Amino acid sequence: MNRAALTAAWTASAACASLVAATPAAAHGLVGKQDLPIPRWMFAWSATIVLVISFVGLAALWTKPILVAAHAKRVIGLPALLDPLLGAIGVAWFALLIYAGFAGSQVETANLVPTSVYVMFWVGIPMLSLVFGDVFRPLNPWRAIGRFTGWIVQKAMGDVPDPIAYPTGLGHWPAAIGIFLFACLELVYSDGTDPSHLAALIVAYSVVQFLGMAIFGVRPWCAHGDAFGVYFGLFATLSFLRLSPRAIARRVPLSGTAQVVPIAGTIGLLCVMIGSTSFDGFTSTEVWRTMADWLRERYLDIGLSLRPAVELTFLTGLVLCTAAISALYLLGARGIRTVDRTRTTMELARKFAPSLIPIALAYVLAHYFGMFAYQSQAMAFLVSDPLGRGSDLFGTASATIDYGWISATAIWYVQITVLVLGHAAGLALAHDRALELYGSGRKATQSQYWMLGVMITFTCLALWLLSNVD
Amino acid sequence: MSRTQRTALVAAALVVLVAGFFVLRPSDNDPTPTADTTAQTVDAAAPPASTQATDTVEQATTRTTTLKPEAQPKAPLLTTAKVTEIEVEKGDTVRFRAVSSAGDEVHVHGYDISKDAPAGKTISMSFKADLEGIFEIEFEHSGTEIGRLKVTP
Repeated sequence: MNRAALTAAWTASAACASLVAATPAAAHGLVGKQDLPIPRWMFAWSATIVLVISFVGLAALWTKPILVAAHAKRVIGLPALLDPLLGAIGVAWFALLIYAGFAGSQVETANLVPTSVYVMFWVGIPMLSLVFGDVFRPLNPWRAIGRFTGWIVQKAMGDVPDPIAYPTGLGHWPAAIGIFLFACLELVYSDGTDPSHLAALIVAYSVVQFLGMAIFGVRPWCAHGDAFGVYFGLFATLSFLRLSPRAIARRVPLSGTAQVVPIAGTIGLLCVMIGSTSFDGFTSTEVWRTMADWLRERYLDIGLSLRPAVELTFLTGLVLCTAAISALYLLGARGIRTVDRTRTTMELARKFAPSLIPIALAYVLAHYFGMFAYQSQAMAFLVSDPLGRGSDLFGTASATIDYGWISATAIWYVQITVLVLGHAAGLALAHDRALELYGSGRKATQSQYWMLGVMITFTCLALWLLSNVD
Repeated sequence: MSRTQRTALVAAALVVLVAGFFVLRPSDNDPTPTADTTAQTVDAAAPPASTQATDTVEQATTRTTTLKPEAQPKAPLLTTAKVTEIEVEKGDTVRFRAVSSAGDEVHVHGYDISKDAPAGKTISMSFKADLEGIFEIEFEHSGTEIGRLKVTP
C-alpha cells in the first residue's frame, strides 16, 4: 500500500462511524492473525500455580544468598576476529534495512523492514539472548561503527582526547526514553509499520547513538544509552551462558541477573518495558475499547482531528499503563520499609530491580510468541525479495506462512509456562536479595510480603490480559 | 524448616497443582460454551442505528455434521460500516457475504483466501475453518477491516 492509498484508507475509515477499525494497532497489522484468549479454566489453573509457587517459595527456598557471589566458568575461548566479523554482519544488515526501507515497496508485509524490526529484532533477539547470552552486543551495528570509527581516528590522529565521563545521574535514562519512544512507534503512531518511516527513524536513532558515543565514548554509551543494547543486555543476563568478545562462560542460572547493578533510570527502563507490553495486551481487551472510545470522544471534543485524537488516546493509555506498573512496583519496595527503616523506598526499589527482569521477559514472550511463531516465517520470502519488487535471490520468494504448524492450545501452554517461570525467577531473585540484605531470619521473609503481592499481581495481570483478548 | 518438611511442602504443592489441572480442565466431550456457532456482532464503536440493521446478526455457520444447504439461514453480511465477528469451531464451515460500494477484493488473512467484490454486488464466501486463531477479514485494496474470524479449537 503506498502513502496515497494509506491516506485514502484513513479518510475512508474516518468517514465510517466505526472508528475501531481505524485504531492504529500498528505492529499487528503486520500479522493478520491474533492469538485466541486463554480459556477461563486455564487462567484459573495458572493463577493457582502462581499463588502456590509464591507461598511455597517463601517458605522453602534456600537460606543463604547463592546468586550474588556465584562465579562464571569459562567454557571456550573465541577468536579475536569473531567480534569484528559479527559487527560487520550487523552493519551489513543495518545498511540493507535502511536501503530497503527507502527504496523498496511500501507495502508493510512485502518489505523486509517491518518484519525485521518488530518481529526478528524486537522479539527474536530477546529469545536468542535468553538462550545464548548477549548476542546483540557483537552484532550491534552502532557499536561496530563506533568502534571502527574510533580505531580509524586513533590511527589517523594518534592521540585522541578522552571522552567526557558518563554522568552518574543520567544512568539508564537515555535507554528508558529510547524504549518508550519505540513503544510509541509500535503502539501509538499510526504509520509505525510504514517501511520508509521506519528507515528514517533508524537513521535518526543512529545519529543520536553516534553523538552519544562521540561525547561519552563507545563503551560507556553502549552500556547506558543505547536503548536496544541495554534492553537486550538485561534479558541476556538471564541466560546461563555469558558471552564476552573473547570467551563463552557458563554461570549459575539467574546469577547473571542477580549481579546486575541497578543505576539511575534502571527502574524506569524496566517499568517502561513491562508497561508497554501490558498496554499492548490491554489494547485488545473490551475494557480498553470502552476506555478508548470515551477518551477519543474527549479529544475530539477539544477540537483535535481524528488521527491525532486516536494517537493521543493510545499515548494516554501507554503512559497510564507505565505509570500504573511503576506505582505498583514502588508499592512493593515501600512494603520492605516495614522491616527496613534505614533505606528509602527508592533505594530499596533499586536493590530489588533485577527481580523485574525475568518478569519483563516473560511478558514479552507471552505476548509475542504467537506473532513470532508465524511472522518469523515471512523472513523466508522477505530475504529473497527484500524490496518487495519481485526478485528471488535465494529461490524462496514464493514461500508462505504456515499458520497451522502450532495449535492454539500449544500457544496457550507456552504463554502460561513462560509467565509462571518468569514469576518463579523474579521470586528467586527477590528472595536472594532479601537474604543478602537481611540474613536468613524472619526479617528476610517479612521483607518479602509486599513484594510477593506485587509480583503475583504482575503475573496475574499478564494472565488476565491473555485471557481477555477480544 | 527442615529438609524433610521442605520436600513435603513442595510435594504437597505439586499434588495440588496436578489435581487442579485435572479438576479444572474440561473433558474433551464437554460441549464448551463456544460451541454455540452463532455470529456475534461485536462493535465497540456503536455505529448509528441506521447502519446496524438487526438482520445482520444472523447464524454464521452450521456444524458440518448437520449441514443442510436448504435449511441454512443467510450468512452475515460484511460491510465497511463495522467489524463483524464470526466465531466458529475448528472444522466448521465459515460462511459470510460481503458487499463493497466502490468495488474491492475480500481477503481472509491467514487462510489467504481472496475473492473479487465488484462494486455494489453481494458476494458470498464459504470455506472450512482448519486454522485456529483470530483472523482479519478485510477489503484488500482500501485496507479496511470488515470482519474478524475467530476459530476456536
